[in-house]
Amino acid sequence: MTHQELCYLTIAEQARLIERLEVSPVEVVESAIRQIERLDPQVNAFITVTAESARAAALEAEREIANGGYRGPLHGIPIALKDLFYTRGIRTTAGSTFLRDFVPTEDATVVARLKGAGAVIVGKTNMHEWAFGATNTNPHYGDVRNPWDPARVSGGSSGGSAAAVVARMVPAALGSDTGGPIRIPAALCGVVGLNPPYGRVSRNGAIPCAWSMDHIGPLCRTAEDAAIVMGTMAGWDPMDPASSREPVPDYRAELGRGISGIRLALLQEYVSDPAQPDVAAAFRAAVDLLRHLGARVETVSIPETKYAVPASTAIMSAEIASYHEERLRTKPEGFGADVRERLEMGLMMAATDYVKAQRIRRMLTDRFLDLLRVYDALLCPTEPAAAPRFDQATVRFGGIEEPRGATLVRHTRLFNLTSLPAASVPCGYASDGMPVALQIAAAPFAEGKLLRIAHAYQQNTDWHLRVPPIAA
Amino acid sequence: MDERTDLPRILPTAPTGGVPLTEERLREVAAQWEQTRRALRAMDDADLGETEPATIFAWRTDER
Repeated sequence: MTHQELCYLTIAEQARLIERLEVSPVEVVESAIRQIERLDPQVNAFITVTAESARAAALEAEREIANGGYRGPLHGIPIALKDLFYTRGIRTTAGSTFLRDFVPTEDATVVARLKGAGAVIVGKTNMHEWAFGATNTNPHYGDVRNPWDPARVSGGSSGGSAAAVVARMVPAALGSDTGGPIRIPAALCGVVGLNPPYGRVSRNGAIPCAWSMDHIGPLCRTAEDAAIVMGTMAGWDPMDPASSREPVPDYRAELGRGISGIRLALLQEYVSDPAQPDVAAAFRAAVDLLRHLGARVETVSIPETKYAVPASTAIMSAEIASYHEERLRTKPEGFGADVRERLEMGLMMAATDYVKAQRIRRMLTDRFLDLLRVYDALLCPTEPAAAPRFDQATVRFGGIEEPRGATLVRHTRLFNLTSLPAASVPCGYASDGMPVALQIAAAPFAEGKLLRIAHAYQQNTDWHLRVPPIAA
Repeated sequence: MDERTDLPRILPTAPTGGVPLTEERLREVAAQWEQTRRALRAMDDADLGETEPATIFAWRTDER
């Protein structure tokens, strides 16, 4: 098998070959490194590539497996990490100048768990500065370019992770999601992105964006691979004060149960929201397919959904401004212009507005919990429009023209505000060739069900198999 | 929004935390923030009723 063929495989496929000793982790990791070397000059998905330590870890994995020490489906698999996870001995910048030379002495909990499962870290991915932005333009480390069209944004803030996965540089990467930063780039680049429920995956060692809305999750090409990564990462961590003791299901075992009889709700406020015609058509086709696979589908309405974006903006802005207050005071010029402006916004908030946002958060959470007692999952398009161009300040769709940042978070913020699990799954391509995605959200700790729906959909579609021309 | 009209209303409460902002920066940022504030205040307090603020453990049921 050639290097090019190897890097096209999913985690599940690579793992099968490694377990049977048909392929060595050395070959698999080398295939990833070569793909990164070939494509990253065009995509800019990585801030740091750790080729040498990855080759050494792959060699160690090869020895272990040859001696009967196979650890499981991540053993010898190359994985990339958004550059906000602490990595012992490897710099961790959070996409900022402030941390340009910061080298942690410890691994984040999720990094330690991945390494413990035998995963091989091949590098740290580019991101929106401090994870505070949805485009992944970055004045310090360069913009991440969408592998489907380098003139377009990848989405962010986990844009490097999404771009690396869809360009077949790695089969999986970690991201973080505070208002959509896993699902937005997943949708714009055409990969699966899972935002797990709050408390499910440890935030220990992940540089925060907004403490109460930060979620850590995987970006992969398939729901099955997301299940594999989640199976390693999820679970209680005493080092994270928000970590939950809720038992972790066997995500992979749950995938095969099908979706016959499952109850799906289309969230009217986002489904009837204006969208680009290609996005609306792809979404309708995806719903039709899920219905055909046995799901019962109804439309529901929660009019207060319209408050999700302003409430989340208020809460995020306050938390982020608090985290960066000292830096803002002493070295404001160290921030990129867009991030600085939004941080400064957070300083202007009246306490009464902040508390009102928290009351709206409670009200919306209660509404959606009630709804998810009746339905297994909610559906809507992840994005109302495909990836905008770098030179495009606004996005037009359905008679609306708004700043591109507003469009990108329009359908994603709700699920960070309510702390619910949500995933983005590729569901087609617009006429200009850019990916379009379906968003599925579920009740607290029902992310296994969510992955099951995504898996059933992917078993009957081939959107996730398509390869951007530059990676072919 | 007329920034000149709005600025005096915003200035007494902003910025917080001792971070210095020039008047020019204040004008720019206040205009951005005003949109969010208006959207938040469109939520009728009567509809929120007795709803208490959320905490980060909004729907947590397990005891640690």
